[in-house]
Amino acid sequence: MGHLSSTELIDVMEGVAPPDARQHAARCAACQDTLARLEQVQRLVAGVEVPDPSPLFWEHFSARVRETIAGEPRSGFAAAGGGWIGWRAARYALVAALAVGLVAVALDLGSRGGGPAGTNPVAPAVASIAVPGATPQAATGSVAPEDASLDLVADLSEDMNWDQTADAGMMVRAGSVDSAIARLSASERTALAKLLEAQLGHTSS
Amino acid sequence: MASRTDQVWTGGMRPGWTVTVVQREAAEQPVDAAAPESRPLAELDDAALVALCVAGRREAFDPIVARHRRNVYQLCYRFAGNHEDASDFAQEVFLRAYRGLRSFKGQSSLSTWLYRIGVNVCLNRVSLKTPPVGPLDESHPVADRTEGQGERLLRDERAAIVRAAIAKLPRKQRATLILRMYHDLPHRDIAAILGSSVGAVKANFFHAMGNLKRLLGSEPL
Repeated sequence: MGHLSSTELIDVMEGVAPPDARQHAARCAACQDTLARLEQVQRLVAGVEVPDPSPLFWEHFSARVRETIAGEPRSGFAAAGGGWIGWRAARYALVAALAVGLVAVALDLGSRGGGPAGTNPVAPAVASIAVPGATPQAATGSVAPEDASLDLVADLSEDMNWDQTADAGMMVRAGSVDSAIARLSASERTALAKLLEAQLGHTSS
Repeated sequence: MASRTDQVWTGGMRPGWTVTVVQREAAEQPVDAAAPESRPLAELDDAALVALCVAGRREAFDPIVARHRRNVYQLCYRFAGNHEDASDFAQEVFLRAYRGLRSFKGQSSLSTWLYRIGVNVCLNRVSLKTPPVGPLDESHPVADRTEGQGERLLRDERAAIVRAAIAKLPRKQRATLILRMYHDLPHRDIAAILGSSVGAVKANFFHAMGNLKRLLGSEPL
């Protein structure tokens, strides 16, 4: 039998080696020397302790973890490092953004037409586009059904469902579109309206 | 287990059939048949707590943190070498664990799974930092009152040297050494954590010891 391999030496050091390996180690000076050096290092390494933190640290630590988790979706709904949920959430965000933008354009066009934006019947109809579960026909039925930009919204939202949307925090609620637009500055509204107006003009031409 | 053959109840029986009535002993009844939802969380095992977390009860994660925080922190400290980073790393370990609880299938123990996350977090985060070669962290020491100051200084100095040497080991060797020496994990579990074979883990452990011997050179043992 030749000298013990690295794994056999570890087994001998840990007392789990088979009898033949133990017998070899007992009579081989070279293997005994290697084992002695291993055991020296083992003793040295084992003597290094981790300083115990203050007893108060543990409760603070648990509280910090609790706070961090409170901002998380329910366990398992967000894959670490992205994954399908990231793509889903991005799609929902895109649909919601498109819906908000379309409403902004509708309001802007409505106000240019002389009527007050708040009375424009287009807004709630477009807002319902972002609600998962709505069919493309229902979503687009009352406003510009020939509009290609709405087809994009319909395509993106066709395989959504309520649970996934709610879990992704992307549910559109009554009034949320209005409040989102209300938070835009005047210049942001103007810029958004121009962008979407240009896009609508492009797609309808 | 008690059993008996009922010779009296023959109604509906076919000739030649024997009805065996098996009575459960009282000891076979569950001592506590209460559903996990109705028991204090601290009394539940890890598997039950994980199930509750996945079902949406965030508070079920608290006992998991309380049970495993010390081991996770110590693992992180072994890699980080200081309290602040160890605390941050440990927090990230639990956050990642919470996010991934649904993928935990119970094939290993929860602690082994947490060690796996911990090793990944530590190796990723430590590689972005300068290896800890400074003196032993003194921010939260628990002093040994019976130990003389000179002895303590010498011990701390040796510990700092050993930490610095461990920090210079290749990643898998370092992880193997830490898990084996300081967390007493079996080679099989280390292999599962590191995605290696048991033989590779033992070889890594051997080479880690050999490299440490070289790095420590003539340090008094």
